[in-house]
Amino acid sequence: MYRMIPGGAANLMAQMRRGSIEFCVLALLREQERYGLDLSRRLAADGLVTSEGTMYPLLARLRQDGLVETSWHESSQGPPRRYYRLTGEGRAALEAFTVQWRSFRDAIDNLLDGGRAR
Amino acid sequence: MSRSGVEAIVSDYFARLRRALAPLPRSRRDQLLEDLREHVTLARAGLSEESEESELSVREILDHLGRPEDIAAEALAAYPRRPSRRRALGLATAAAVLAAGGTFAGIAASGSPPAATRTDAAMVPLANSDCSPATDAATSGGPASTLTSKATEVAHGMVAGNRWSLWSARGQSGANGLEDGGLVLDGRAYGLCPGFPNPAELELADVGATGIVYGVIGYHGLAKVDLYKSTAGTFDRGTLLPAPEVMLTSGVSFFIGTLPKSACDYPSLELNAAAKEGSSQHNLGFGRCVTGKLVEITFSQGAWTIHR
Repeated sequence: MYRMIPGGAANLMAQMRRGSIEFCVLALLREQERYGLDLSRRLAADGLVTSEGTMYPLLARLRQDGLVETSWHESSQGPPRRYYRLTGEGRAALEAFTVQWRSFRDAIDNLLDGGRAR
Repeated sequence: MSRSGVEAIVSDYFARLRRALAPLPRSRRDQLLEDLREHVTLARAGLSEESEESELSVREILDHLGRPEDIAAEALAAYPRRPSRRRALGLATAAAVLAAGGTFAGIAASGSPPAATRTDAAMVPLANSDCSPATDAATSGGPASTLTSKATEVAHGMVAGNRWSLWSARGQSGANGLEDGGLVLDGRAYGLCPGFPNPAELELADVGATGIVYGVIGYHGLAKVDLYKSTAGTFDRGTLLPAPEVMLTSGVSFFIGTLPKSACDYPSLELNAAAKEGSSQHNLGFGRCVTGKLVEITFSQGAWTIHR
């Protein structure tokens, strides 16, 4: 039976975003430090946050949870910026998520492909 | 373009944001405002490199940033993930309603909330703002230096023959400073978990023959504080206990008092506080008592108002 209502689908996307967004932030920080404006614009451009501003409560939480840490950098052009970088704990959380995400994704893909794979 | 027009747009936005973030504890609200200001400053600096700033281009920055109410909703919903003693209980819920007339009222429960505390309002996670390190039963009662090395003494006195001193975290003020600071009692450090979103919070310390209760009432100005030996999960007041000493410090009320019996004899306490700014009831249930530690809070429910 297939009767998913559009509102249900939108809600599903919101829930999926909510569940994975913090790991998207951690992933953006895997290779380099970034400042808030840069992070929020990247995620908003990918449609992963609904607006750039909703990114900041999330960053505050990641910092509070010890997954990221921040430092101020002076810039030759413009005002100083607060940069975010991964902590060891953040890196471990990202690695654990990556493993879980891949196995989750593969399982769903298998089902959606009618269980043909394998 | 009008310079003052641009500034007015930005300041209107931040005034709206500040209002929307009002239910958050001050330290968090200030942090978010600072982050978002930086965002806007940097975005505007980027603009001015490309072309002259206009009202339209500034509006665009703010549009991308999003509605203040949405940012506030995210901040309240996503808050906090860090395990606190209440989070350890499992699901904790709170409901808050912003009533017409500027009165903020809320009701919150954790543990097993009785039906009476449920409302149809949007449910948000019950949140404690930053607790100093020594608020949970396991780590409270540590060396005083863990607290005093990063805080400033703001009050002291004697309770049940023990010297106490109250400490405010450096770089912070008001209730936040006290909540991120804590209490030194008989040379040991005890935390002061804030009651957010309930302004009234209490801790019960097991320090021997008689239990000691203390806490902060986050309303501005001196509050009237009543303590009752009550029943967890109800708002039946129960038996009135001796009045604690209440003092105005850092602009809010701090109270401390001795209970007639050992901390182990109070499975539940109710804290009622009233100030000009509002009133609050906080009903708490307590777990196992351990000498030299705070008694673990196993249940918490409250109802409160904030007149703004």
